[in-house]
Amino acid sequence: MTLENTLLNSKIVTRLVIVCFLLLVVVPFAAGLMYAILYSVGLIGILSNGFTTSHISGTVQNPEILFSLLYSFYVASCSMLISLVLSLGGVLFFKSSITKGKWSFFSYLPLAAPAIVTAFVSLQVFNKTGVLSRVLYQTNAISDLSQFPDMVNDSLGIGIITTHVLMATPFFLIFFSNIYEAENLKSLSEVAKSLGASSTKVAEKIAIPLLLKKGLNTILLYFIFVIGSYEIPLILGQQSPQMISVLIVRKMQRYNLIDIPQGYFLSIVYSVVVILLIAVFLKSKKPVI
Amino acid sequence: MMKRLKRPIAFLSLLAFSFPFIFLFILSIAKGWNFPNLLPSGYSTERWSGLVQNTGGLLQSLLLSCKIGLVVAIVSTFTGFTISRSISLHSKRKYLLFACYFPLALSPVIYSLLLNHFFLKFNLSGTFMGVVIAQLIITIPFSILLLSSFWNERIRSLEQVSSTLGSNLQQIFFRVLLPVALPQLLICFFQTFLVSWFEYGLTIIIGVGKVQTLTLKVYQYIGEANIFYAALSSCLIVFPPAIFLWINKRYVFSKLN
Repeated sequence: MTLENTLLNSKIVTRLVIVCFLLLVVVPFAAGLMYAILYSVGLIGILSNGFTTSHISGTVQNPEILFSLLYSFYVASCSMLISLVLSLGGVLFFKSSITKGKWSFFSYLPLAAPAIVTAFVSLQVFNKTGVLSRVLYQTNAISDLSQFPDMVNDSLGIGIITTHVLMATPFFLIFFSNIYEAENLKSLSEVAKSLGASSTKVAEKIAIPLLLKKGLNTILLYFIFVIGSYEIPLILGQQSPQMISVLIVRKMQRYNLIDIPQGYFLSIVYSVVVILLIAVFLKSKKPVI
Repeated sequence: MMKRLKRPIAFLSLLAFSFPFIFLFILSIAKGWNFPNLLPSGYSTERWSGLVQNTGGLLQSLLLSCKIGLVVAIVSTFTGFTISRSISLHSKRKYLLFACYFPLALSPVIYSLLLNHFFLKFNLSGTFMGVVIAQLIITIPFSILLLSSFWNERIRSLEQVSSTLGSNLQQIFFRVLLPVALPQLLICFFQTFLVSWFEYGLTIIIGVGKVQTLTLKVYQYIGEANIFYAALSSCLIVFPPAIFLWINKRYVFSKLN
Protein backbone atom coordinates (compact mmCIF):
# COMPACT_ATOMS: atom_id res chain seq x y z
CA MET A 1 0.00 0.00 0.00
CA THR A 2 1.61 3.26 -1.10
CA LEU A 3 1.15 6.47 0.77
CA GLU A 4 -0.74 8.02 -2.14
CA ASN A 5 -3.49 5.44 -1.65
CA THR A 6 -4.02 6.18 1.99
CA LEU A 7 -7.00 8.14 3.20
CA LEU A 8 -4.86 10.87 4.77
CA ASN A 9 -3.34 11.71 1.46
CA SER A 10 -6.45 11.34 -0.65
CA LYS A 11 -7.62 14.35 -2.61
CA ILE A 12 -10.97 14.37 -0.77
CA VAL A 13 -9.35 14.77 2.62
CA THR A 14 -6.96 17.42 1.36
CA ARG A 15 -9.87 19.35 -0.17
CA LEU A 16 -11.88 19.03 3.05
CA VAL A 17 -8.97 20.38 5.07
CA ILE A 18 -8.58 23.28 2.62
CA VAL A 19 -12.31 24.04 2.99
CA CYS A 20 -11.83 24.06 6.78
CA PHE A 21 -8.88 26.39 6.29
CA LEU A 22 -10.98 28.74 4.18
CA LEU A 23 -13.78 28.66 6.77
CA LEU A 24 -11.41 29.35 9.65
CA VAL A 25 -9.05 31.86 8.07
CA VAL A 26 -10.40 33.44 4.89
CA VAL A 27 -14.20 33.54 5.45
CA PRO A 28 -14.11 35.44 8.80
CA PHE A 29 -11.76 38.04 7.32
CA ALA A 30 -13.83 38.45 4.14
CA ALA A 31 -17.14 38.47 6.06
CA GLY A 32 -15.88 41.09 8.51
CA LEU A 33 -14.60 43.30 5.70
CA MET A 34 -17.83 42.89 3.68
CA TYR A 35 -19.94 43.77 6.73
CA ALA A 36 -17.80 46.89 7.29
CA ILE A 37 -18.21 47.95 3.62
CA LEU A 38 -22.02 47.48 3.72
CA TYR A 39 -22.26 49.31 7.04
CA SER A 40 -20.13 52.25 5.90
CA VAL A 41 -22.29 52.81 2.77
CA GLY A 42 -25.49 52.69 4.81
CA LEU A 43 -26.87 49.40 3.44
CA ILE A 44 -27.01 47.77 6.88
CA GLY A 45 -26.97 49.00 10.44
CA ILE A 46 -29.28 50.80 12.85
CA LEU A 47 -29.34 54.05 10.87
CA SER A 48 -29.58 52.31 7.49
CA ASN A 49 -31.64 54.31 4.97
CA GLY A 50 -30.30 52.87 1.76
CA PHE A 51 -27.07 53.52 -0.11
CA THR A 52 -25.23 56.68 0.89
CA THR A 53 -21.70 58.00 0.68
CA SER A 54 -22.28 60.59 3.39
CA HIS A 55 -20.48 58.52 6.03
CA ILE A 56 -17.45 58.12 3.77
CA SER A 57 -17.33 61.80 2.80
CA GLY A 58 -17.86 62.72 6.48
CA THR A 59 -14.88 60.57 7.43
CA VAL A 60 -12.65 61.79 4.59
CA GLN A 61 -13.37 65.44 5.43
CA ASN A 62 -12.59 64.90 9.11
CA PRO A 63 -8.99 66.10 9.67
CA GLU A 64 -8.79 63.95 12.81
CA ILE A 65 -8.66 60.83 10.63
CA LEU A 66 -5.70 62.00 8.54
CA PHE A 67 -3.88 63.13 11.68
CA SER A 68 -4.52 59.77 13.27
CA LEU A 69 -3.12 57.88 10.27
CA LEU A 70 -0.08 60.16 10.07
CA TYR A 71 0.43 59.93 13.82
CA SER A 72 0.33 56.11 13.64
CA PHE A 73 2.94 56.13 10.86
CA TYR A 74 5.06 58.61 12.82
CA VAL A 75 4.98 56.46 15.99
CA ALA A 76 5.70 53.26 14.03
CA SER A 77 8.54 54.85 12.04
CA CYS A 78 10.24 56.37 15.10
CA SER A 79 9.84 53.19 17.15
CA MET A 80 11.23 51.00 14.39
CA LEU A 81 14.11 53.33 13.58
CA ILE A 82 15.29 53.58 17.19
CA SER A 83 14.81 49.85 17.82
CA LEU A 84 16.72 48.91 14.67
CA VAL A 85 19.63 51.22 15.49
CA LEU A 86 19.83 49.84 19.05
CA SER A 87 19.44 46.20 18.07
CA LEU A 88 21.86 46.36 15.13
CA GLY A 89 24.37 48.13 17.37
CA GLY A 90 23.81 45.51 20.06
CA VAL A 91 24.31 42.59 17.69
CA LEU A 92 27.48 44.07 16.18
CA PHE A 93 28.79 44.70 19.68
CA PHE A 94 27.83 41.44 21.39
CA LYS A 95 27.65 39.18 18.32
CA SER A 96 26.01 35.79 18.94
CA SER A 97 26.55 35.90 22.72
CA ILE A 98 23.07 37.48 22.91
CA THR A 99 21.44 34.13 22.22
CA LYS A 100 24.27 31.73 23.02
CA GLY A 101 25.99 33.01 26.13
CA LYS A 102 25.61 32.04 29.77
CA TRP A 103 23.29 34.96 30.49
CA SER A 104 21.41 34.78 27.19
CA PHE A 105 18.13 33.90 28.95
CA PHE A 106 17.92 37.54 30.05
CA SER A 107 17.77 38.65 26.41
CA TYR A 108 14.63 36.57 26.02
CA LEU A 109 13.05 37.82 29.25
CA PRO A 110 11.39 40.99 27.85
CA LEU A 111 9.51 38.76 25.39
CA ALA A 112 7.55 37.44 28.37
CA ALA A 113 5.91 40.82 28.96
CA PRO A 114 2.83 41.69 26.93
CA ALA A 115 2.10 45.18 25.62
CA ILE A 116 -0.35 46.01 28.42
CA VAL A 117 2.19 45.16 31.15
CA THR A 118 5.04 46.99 29.40
CA ALA A 119 2.75 50.02 29.05
CA PHE A 120 1.94 49.84 32.77
CA VAL A 121 5.65 49.66 33.67
CA SER A 122 6.36 52.63 31.35
CA LEU A 123 3.55 54.57 33.00
CA GLN A 124 5.06 53.94 36.42
CA VAL A 125 8.57 54.83 35.25
CA PHE A 126 7.94 57.87 33.05
CA ASN A 127 4.98 59.68 34.66
CA LYS A 128 5.41 62.86 36.72
CA THR A 129 5.68 60.92 39.99
CA GLY A 130 7.31 57.86 38.44
CA VAL A 131 10.66 56.18 39.04
CA LEU A 132 12.60 58.47 36.69
CA SER A 133 11.32 61.71 38.23
CA ARG A 134 12.03 60.31 41.73
CA VAL A 135 15.61 59.47 40.73
CA LEU A 136 16.09 62.97 39.27
CA TYR A 137 14.55 64.53 42.38
CA GLN A 138 16.74 62.48 44.74
CA THR A 139 19.85 63.41 42.76
CA ASN A 140 18.79 67.09 42.82
CA ALA A 141 18.55 67.22 39.04
CA ILE A 142 15.04 68.63 39.53
CA SER A 143 13.64 70.43 42.57
CA ASP A 144 9.98 70.41 41.60
CA LEU A 145 7.64 68.02 39.80
CA SER A 146 6.79 70.67 37.22
CA GLN A 147 10.39 70.57 36.01
CA PHE A 148 9.97 66.97 34.91
CA PRO A 149 8.92 66.84 31.24
CA ASP A 150 5.68 65.19 30.10
CA MET A 151 6.76 61.76 28.97
CA VAL A 152 3.39 60.01 29.02
CA ASN A 153 0.09 61.13 27.52
CA ASP A 154 2.14 63.70 25.60
CA SER A 155 1.56 65.10 22.11
CA LEU A 156 4.86 63.79 20.70
CA GLY A 157 4.06 60.25 21.77
CA ILE A 158 7.33 59.88 23.68
CA GLY A 159 5.82 57.37 26.10
CA ILE A 160 4.29 55.30 23.29
CA ILE A 161 7.49 55.31 21.22
CA THR A 162 9.68 54.48 24.24
CA THR A 163 7.44 51.55 25.19
CA HIS A 164 7.46 50.20 21.64
CA VAL A 165 11.25 50.55 21.59
CA LEU A 166 11.46 48.65 24.89
CA MET A 167 9.40 45.85 23.36
CA ALA A 168 10.95 45.78 19.89
CA THR A 169 14.66 46.11 20.76
CA PRO A 170 15.02 42.77 22.63
CA PHE A 171 13.01 41.06 19.90
CA PHE A 172 15.25 42.40 17.12
CA LEU A 173 18.39 41.74 19.16
CA ILE A 174 17.51 38.04 19.26
CA PHE A 175 16.31 38.06 15.67
CA PHE A 176 19.46 39.71 14.25
CA SER A 177 21.66 37.61 16.49
CA ASN A 178 20.12 34.47 14.96
CA ILE A 179 20.71 35.83 11.45
CA TYR A 180 24.30 36.72 12.43
CA GLU A 181 24.83 33.11 13.44
CA ALA A 182 22.97 31.55 10.50
CA GLU A 183 24.76 33.66 7.88
CA ASN A 184 28.13 32.99 9.46
CA LEU A 185 28.82 36.71 9.65
CA LYS A 186 31.68 36.18 12.09
CA SER A 187 33.74 34.32 9.48
CA LEU A 188 32.76 36.78 6.75
CA SER A 189 33.91 39.68 8.93
CA GLU A 190 37.19 37.95 9.71
CA VAL A 191 37.86 37.37 6.01
CA ALA A 192 37.08 41.03 5.25
CA LYS A 193 39.37 42.16 8.07
CA SER A 194 42.20 39.92 6.89
CA LEU A 195 41.85 41.61 3.50
CA GLY A 196 42.34 44.99 5.15
CA ALA A 197 38.84 46.22 5.94
CA SER A 198 38.36 48.15 9.18
CA SER A 199 35.68 47.18 11.75
CA THR A 200 33.55 50.17 10.67
CA LYS A 201 33.83 49.19 7.01
CA VAL A 202 32.85 45.59 7.85
CA ALA A 203 29.79 46.80 9.74
CA GLU A 204 28.86 49.36 7.08
CA LYS A 205 29.44 47.26 3.95
CA ILE A 206 28.81 43.69 5.10
CA ALA A 207 27.05 43.16 8.43
CA ILE A 208 24.36 45.88 8.47
CA PRO A 209 23.23 45.49 4.83
CA LEU A 210 23.09 41.70 5.20
CA LEU A 211 21.18 41.79 8.51
CA LEU A 212 18.68 44.34 7.16
CA LYS A 213 18.18 42.46 3.90
CA LYS A 214 17.59 39.14 5.63
CA GLY A 215 15.31 40.73 8.22
CA LEU A 216 13.31 42.96 5.89
CA ASN A 217 10.11 40.88 6.07
CA THR A 218 10.04 40.79 9.83
CA ILE A 219 10.83 44.51 10.04
CA LEU A 220 7.88 45.24 7.76
CA LEU A 221 5.56 42.93 9.70
CA TYR A 222 6.61 44.53 12.98
CA PHE A 223 6.02 47.97 11.45
CA ILE A 224 2.44 46.91 10.58
CA PHE A 225 2.04 45.57 14.11
CA VAL A 226 3.11 48.91 15.66
CA ILE A 227 0.74 50.89 13.41
CA GLY A 228 -2.17 48.80 14.69
CA SER A 229 -1.08 48.61 18.32
CA TYR A 230 -3.84 49.29 20.81
CA GLU A 231 -2.95 48.74 24.48
CA ILE A 232 0.15 50.96 24.54
CA PRO A 233 -1.46 54.11 23.00
CA LEU A 234 -4.60 53.43 25.06
CA ILE A 235 -2.64 53.71 28.30
CA LEU A 236 0.12 56.13 27.30
CA GLY A 237 -1.52 58.20 24.56
CA GLN A 238 -3.56 61.36 24.71
CA GLN A 239 -7.05 62.29 23.51
CA SER A 240 -5.87 63.89 20.26
CA PRO A 241 -4.23 62.81 18.04
CA GLN A 242 -4.94 59.15 18.72
CA MET A 243 -3.42 56.15 17.06
CA ILE A 244 -5.64 54.50 14.47
CA SER A 245 -6.75 51.50 16.59
CA VAL A 246 -7.73 53.67 19.53
CA LEU A 247 -9.62 56.07 17.26
CA ILE A 248 -11.54 53.26 15.53
CA VAL A 249 -12.54 51.68 18.86
CA ARG A 250 -13.59 55.10 20.18
CA LYS A 251 -15.75 55.76 17.11
CA MET A 252 -17.37 52.32 17.08
CA GLN A 253 -18.12 52.16 20.78
CA ARG A 254 -19.55 55.63 21.17
CA TYR A 255 -23.20 56.32 21.96
CA ASN A 256 -23.32 58.58 18.87
CA LEU A 257 -24.68 56.19 16.24
CA ILE A 258 -23.43 58.35 13.32
CA ASP A 259 -19.86 57.57 14.37
CA ILE A 260 -20.29 53.81 13.90
CA PRO A 261 -20.38 53.80 10.04
CA GLN A 262 -17.42 56.19 10.09
CA GLY A 263 -15.59 53.75 12.37
CA TYR A 264 -16.33 50.92 9.94
CA PHE A 265 -15.06 52.98 6.99
CA LEU A 266 -11.92 53.79 8.93
CA SER A 267 -11.34 50.11 9.67
CA ILE A 268 -11.63 49.43 5.91
CA VAL A 269 -9.02 52.11 5.21
CA TYR A 270 -6.75 50.58 7.85
CA SER A 271 -7.29 47.05 6.44
CA VAL A 272 -6.46 48.23 2.91
CA VAL A 273 -3.23 49.83 4.16
CA VAL A 274 -2.32 46.55 5.89
CA ILE A 275 -3.17 44.50 2.78
CA LEU A 276 -1.00 46.77 0.62
CA LEU A 277 1.90 46.49 3.03
CA ILE A 278 1.55 42.71 3.07
CA ALA A 279 1.41 42.69 -0.74
CA VAL A 280 4.82 44.39 -0.68
CA PHE A 281 5.93 41.74 1.75
CA LEU A 282 4.62 38.95 -0.55
CA LYS A 283 7.10 39.95 -3.22
CA SER A 284 9.81 38.52 -1.07
CA LYS A 285 10.26 34.75 -1.25
CA LYS A 286 11.44 33.79 2.19
CA PRO A 287 8.77 33.19 4.87
CA VAL A 288 9.04 35.25 8.05
CA ILE A 289 7.84 32.87 10.70
CA MET B 1 38.43 50.38 24.66
CA MET B 2 35.35 48.63 23.23
CA LYS B 3 36.32 45.36 24.90
CA ARG B 4 36.56 47.10 28.27
CA LEU B 5 33.07 48.54 27.79
CA LYS B 6 31.58 45.18 26.94
CA ARG B 7 31.07 43.98 30.51
CA PRO B 8 29.47 47.17 31.91
CA ILE B 9 27.15 47.43 28.88
CA ALA B 10 26.23 43.76 29.20
CA PHE B 11 25.51 44.25 32.89
CA LEU B 12 23.36 47.35 32.21
CA SER B 13 21.45 45.51 29.47
CA LEU B 14 20.88 42.58 31.80
CA LEU B 15 19.60 44.98 34.46
CA ALA B 16 17.35 46.77 31.95
CA PHE B 17 15.88 43.48 30.70
CA SER B 18 15.10 42.21 34.18
CA PHE B 19 14.01 45.60 35.60
CA PRO B 20 10.27 45.29 34.74
CA PHE B 21 10.09 41.93 36.52
CA ILE B 22 11.87 43.13 39.67
CA PHE B 23 9.90 46.41 39.67
CA LEU B 24 6.53 44.67 39.30
CA PHE B 25 7.32 42.22 42.08
CA ILE B 26 8.43 45.00 44.45
CA LEU B 27 5.28 46.99 43.63
CA SER B 28 3.10 43.92 44.22
CA ILE B 29 4.42 43.57 47.78
CA ALA B 30 4.65 47.31 48.52
CA LYS B 31 2.59 48.85 51.32
CA GLY B 32 2.85 52.38 50.00
CA TRP B 33 5.00 54.28 47.50
CA ASN B 34 4.83 58.00 48.11
CA PHE B 35 6.73 60.64 46.16
CA PRO B 36 9.72 61.29 46.30
CA ASN B 37 10.73 57.95 47.89
CA LEU B 38 12.54 55.61 45.56
CA LEU B 39 11.51 52.53 47.48
CA PRO B 40 8.15 51.63 49.05
CA SER B 41 7.54 52.57 52.68
CA GLY B 42 6.97 48.94 53.67
CA TYR B 43 6.45 45.46 52.35
CA SER B 44 3.72 42.90 52.84
CA THR B 45 2.77 39.60 51.29
CA GLU B 46 -0.89 40.35 52.05
CA ARG B 47 -1.87 40.76 48.39
CA TRP B 48 -0.14 37.55 47.35
CA SER B 49 -1.75 35.58 50.20
CA GLY B 50 -5.10 37.21 49.34
CA LEU B 51 -4.75 35.63 45.93
CA VAL B 52 -5.61 32.22 47.40
CA GLN B 53 -8.85 33.67 48.81
CA ASN B 54 -9.60 35.02 45.30
CA THR B 55 -9.44 38.69 46.41
CA GLY B 56 -10.75 40.85 43.58
CA GLY B 57 -11.40 37.73 41.50
CA LEU B 58 -7.71 37.47 40.57
CA LEU B 59 -7.45 33.74 41.13
CA GLN B 60 -10.55 33.25 39.01
CA SER B 61 -9.00 35.39 36.25
CA LEU B 62 -5.75 33.44 36.48
CA LEU B 63 -7.58 30.13 36.09
CA LEU B 64 -9.72 31.53 33.28
CA SER B 65 -6.67 32.81 31.38
CA CYS B 66 -5.04 29.38 31.85
CA LYS B 67 -8.15 27.60 30.62
CA ILE B 68 -8.55 29.82 27.54
CA GLY B 69 -4.81 29.63 26.80
CA LEU B 70 -4.70 25.85 27.04
CA VAL B 71 -7.80 25.30 24.88
CA VAL B 72 -6.55 27.79 22.27
CA ALA B 73 -3.01 26.33 22.26
CA ILE B 74 -4.13 22.69 21.98
CA VAL B 75 -6.75 23.32 19.28
CA SER B 76 -4.62 25.66 17.20
CA THR B 77 -1.51 23.43 17.38
CA PHE B 78 -3.47 20.36 16.28
CA THR B 79 -5.44 22.26 13.59
CA GLY B 80 -2.32 24.08 12.41
CA PHE B 81 -0.42 20.79 12.10
CA THR B 82 -3.20 19.18 10.05
CA ILE B 83 -3.95 22.16 7.83
CA SER B 84 -0.30 23.07 7.21
CA ARG B 85 0.25 19.56 5.84
CA SER B 86 -2.57 19.87 3.32
CA ILE B 87 -1.44 23.37 2.36
CA SER B 88 2.12 22.16 1.80
CA LEU B 89 0.79 19.66 -0.76
CA HIS B 90 -1.47 22.19 -2.49
CA SER B 91 -0.54 23.79 -5.81
CA LYS B 92 -1.64 27.24 -4.54
CA ARG B 93 0.49 26.90 -1.42
CA LYS B 94 1.97 30.41 -1.72
CA TYR B 95 -1.41 32.14 -1.87
CA LEU B 96 -2.94 30.05 0.91
CA LEU B 97 -0.04 30.91 3.18
CA PHE B 98 -0.34 34.54 2.11
CA ALA B 99 -3.96 34.54 3.34
CA CYS B 100 -2.72 33.52 6.79
CA TYR B 101 -0.94 36.84 7.21
CA PHE B 102 -4.15 38.93 7.11
CA PRO B 103 -5.63 37.93 10.49
CA LEU B 104 -2.16 38.22 12.01
CA ALA B 105 -1.23 41.58 10.58
CA LEU B 106 -4.53 43.26 11.39
CA SER B 107 -4.78 44.79 14.82
CA PRO B 108 -6.70 42.19 16.93
CA VAL B 109 -8.93 44.89 18.36
CA ILE B 110 -9.96 46.11 14.88
CA TYR B 111 -10.40 42.57 13.62
CA SER B 112 -12.66 41.78 16.58
CA LEU B 113 -14.73 44.91 15.87
CA LEU B 114 -15.20 43.70 12.28
CA LEU B 115 -16.31 40.29 13.56
CA ASN B 116 -18.30 41.48 16.56
CA HIS B 117 -21.62 41.53 14.71
CA PHE B 118 -21.35 37.81 13.88
CA PHE B 119 -20.47 36.91 17.45
CA LEU B 120 -23.54 38.84 18.65
CA LYS B 121 -25.67 37.08 16.02
CA PHE B 122 -24.58 33.62 17.21
CA ASN B 123 -24.88 34.56 20.91
CA LEU B 124 -21.14 34.10 21.38
CA SER B 125 -20.47 37.61 22.57
CA GLY B 126 -19.54 37.81 26.24
CA THR B 127 -19.00 34.06 26.53
CA PHE B 128 -16.00 31.84 27.19
CA MET B 129 -16.60 30.00 23.92
CA GLY B 130 -16.83 33.29 22.00
CA VAL B 131 -13.46 34.47 23.28
CA VAL B 132 -11.89 31.07 22.52
CA ILE B 133 -13.26 31.08 18.94
CA ALA B 134 -12.16 34.69 18.40
CA GLN B 135 -8.65 33.87 19.60
CA LEU B 136 -8.55 30.73 17.43
CA ILE B 137 -9.29 32.88 14.37
CA ILE B 138 -5.92 34.51 15.03
CA THR B 139 -3.88 31.62 16.44
CA ILE B 140 -4.78 29.03 13.77
CA PRO B 141 -3.23 31.06 10.89
CA PHE B 142 -0.28 31.71 13.17
CA SER B 143 0.28 28.01 13.85
CA ILE B 144 -0.19 27.18 10.14
CA LEU B 145 2.61 29.62 9.26
CA LEU B 146 4.75 28.34 12.10
CA LEU B 147 4.37 24.68 11.13
CA SER B 148 4.34 25.06 7.34
CA SER B 149 8.15 24.92 7.21
CA PHE B 150 8.05 21.50 8.87
CA TRP B 151 6.50 19.81 5.82
CA ASN B 152 9.62 19.70 3.65
CA GLU B 153 11.00 17.11 1.26
CA ARG B 154 12.74 15.20 4.06
CA ILE B 155 9.48 14.67 5.97
CA ARG B 156 7.70 13.68 2.77
CA SER B 157 10.41 11.09 2.03
CA LEU B 158 10.18 9.83 5.60
CA GLU B 159 6.42 9.32 5.21
CA GLN B 160 6.92 7.49 1.92
CA VAL B 161 9.63 5.22 3.31
CA SER B 162 7.46 4.33 6.31
CA SER B 163 4.54 3.61 4.03
CA THR B 164 6.48 1.39 1.66
CA LEU B 165 7.86 -0.51 4.67
CA GLY B 166 4.28 -1.36 5.64
CA SER B 167 3.32 1.24 8.24
CA ASN B 168 -0.33 2.16 8.42
CA LEU B 169 -1.68 5.70 8.90
CA GLN B 170 -1.70 5.56 12.67
CA GLN B 171 1.86 4.24 12.81
CA ILE B 172 3.07 6.90 10.38
CA PHE B 173 1.39 9.60 12.45
CA PHE B 174 2.28 8.43 15.97
CA ARG B 175 5.62 6.71 15.40
CA VAL B 176 7.14 8.77 12.61
CA LEU B 177 5.62 12.25 12.24
CA LEU B 178 4.83 13.05 15.86
CA PRO B 179 8.30 12.29 17.31
CA VAL B 180 9.98 14.24 14.50
CA ALA B 181 7.56 17.17 14.80
CA LEU B 182 7.53 17.28 18.61
CA PRO B 183 9.98 20.20 19.10
CA GLN B 184 8.10 22.33 16.50
CA LEU B 185 4.76 21.33 18.01
CA LEU B 186 5.97 22.32 21.47
CA ILE B 187 7.16 25.69 20.18
CA CYS B 188 3.82 26.17 18.42
CA PHE B 189 1.97 25.22 21.63
CA PHE B 190 4.00 27.70 23.72
CA GLN B 191 3.67 30.48 21.16
CA THR B 192 -0.10 30.12 20.70
CA PHE B 193 -0.57 29.85 24.45
CA LEU B 194 1.35 33.11 24.83
CA VAL B 195 -0.70 34.83 22.09
CA SER B 196 -3.84 33.89 24.01
CA TRP B 197 -2.33 34.69 27.43
CA PHE B 198 -1.26 38.19 26.28
CA GLU B 199 -4.44 38.99 24.38
CA TYR B 200 -6.33 42.10 25.47
CA GLY B 201 -8.06 43.96 22.59
CA LEU B 202 -9.88 40.98 21.16
CA THR B 203 -10.93 39.68 24.57
CA ILE B 204 -12.38 43.01 25.69
CA ILE B 205 -14.43 43.42 22.48
CA ILE B 206 -15.73 39.85 22.08
CA GLY B 207 -15.86 39.17 25.82
CA VAL B 208 -17.56 42.58 26.42
CA GLY B 209 -15.77 42.73 29.77
CA LYS B 210 -17.60 39.64 31.03
CA VAL B 211 -14.74 37.26 30.31
CA GLN B 212 -12.31 38.72 32.83
CA THR B 213 -8.88 37.45 31.87
CA LEU B 214 -5.72 38.68 33.61
CA THR B 215 -4.95 41.32 30.96
CA LEU B 216 -8.40 42.83 31.51
CA LYS B 217 -7.73 42.88 35.25
CA VAL B 218 -4.48 44.81 34.68
CA TYR B 219 -6.32 47.45 32.66
CA GLN B 220 -9.13 47.58 35.20
CA TYR B 221 -6.67 48.23 38.05
CA ILE B 222 -4.77 50.84 36.00
CA GLY B 223 -8.11 52.60 35.42
CA GLU B 224 -8.83 52.48 39.15
CA ALA B 225 -5.31 53.85 39.85
CA ASN B 226 -4.71 50.76 41.99
CA ILE B 227 -1.06 50.31 40.99
CA PHE B 228 -0.34 47.62 43.57
CA TYR B 229 -3.02 45.24 42.34
CA ALA B 230 -2.15 46.15 38.74
CA ALA B 231 1.43 45.08 39.58
CA LEU B 232 0.20 41.86 41.17
CA SER B 233 -1.93 41.01 38.11
CA SER B 234 1.04 41.89 35.89
CA CYS B 235 3.25 39.52 37.90
CA LEU B 236 0.72 36.76 37.34
CA ILE B 237 0.90 37.48 33.61
CA VAL B 238 4.67 37.77 33.16
CA PHE B 239 6.10 35.13 35.50
CA PRO B 240 4.53 32.01 33.93
CA PRO B 241 5.73 32.94 30.39
CA ALA B 242 9.17 33.74 31.81
CA ILE B 243 9.29 30.21 33.24
CA PHE B 244 7.94 28.87 29.94
CA LEU B 245 10.68 30.74 28.08
CA TRP B 246 13.30 29.28 30.37
CA ILE B 247 11.97 25.75 29.79
CA ASN B 248 11.68 26.47 26.07
CA LYS B 249 15.25 27.74 25.86
CA ARG B 250 16.67 25.07 28.12
CA TYR B 251 14.97 22.03 26.62
CA VAL B 252 13.27 22.80 23.29
CA PHE B 253 15.69 25.23 21.62
CA SER B 254 18.70 23.19 22.70
CA LYS B 255 17.22 20.12 20.99
CA LEU B 256 16.57 22.09 17.82
CA ASN B 257 20.08 23.54 17.65
